[in-house]
Amino acid sequence: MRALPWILLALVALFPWMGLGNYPLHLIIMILVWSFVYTSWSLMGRFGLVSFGHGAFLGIGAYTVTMLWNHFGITPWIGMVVGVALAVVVAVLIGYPCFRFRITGHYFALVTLALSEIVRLIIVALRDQSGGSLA
Amino acid sequence: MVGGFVAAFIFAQLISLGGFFFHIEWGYVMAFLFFIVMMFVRPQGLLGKKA
Repeated sequence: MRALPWILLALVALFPWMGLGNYPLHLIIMILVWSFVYTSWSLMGRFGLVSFGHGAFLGIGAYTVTMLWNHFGITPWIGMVVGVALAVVVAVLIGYPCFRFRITGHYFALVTLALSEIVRLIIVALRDQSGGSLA
Repeated sequence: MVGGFVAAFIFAQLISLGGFFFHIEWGYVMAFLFFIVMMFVRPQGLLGKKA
């Protein structure tokens, strides 16, 4: 039973080569994306800080990878590292002052909510490059 | 109360001026940036005193 997680992980890694149709593959990708999203959020909740900024970091990562690929033809293998780096930079820019000025509780939730709104609005404002609001 | 009024006024000015000179979204971006910076600098409120 110790091997079960590794077998499941291998199964997940092999999904693109199983000859599934485009739509089932899309469904599996969305399932994995959303499971990643709620896992990250529940992890944050366990540390006692309510953050509404997870969407900002998800958006930064996703749009960095996709826009590097669309505009510069940079492969997502490099793009995902750049996306993580950019998300970390934004997280430190917001997180360090929060730590420094002891922003916790409702104030932290408000700051992160404003951050996710900022990222969303910047993506929509750059509609000529990013494709605008896709929701 | 007065601080809230001032904040609403600044917010409206940032949104409408930013929307006038750039895309409308940039006005909201500037307003929320102002909100975050003020949250760090003066968490007790614009005109509030330190507790």
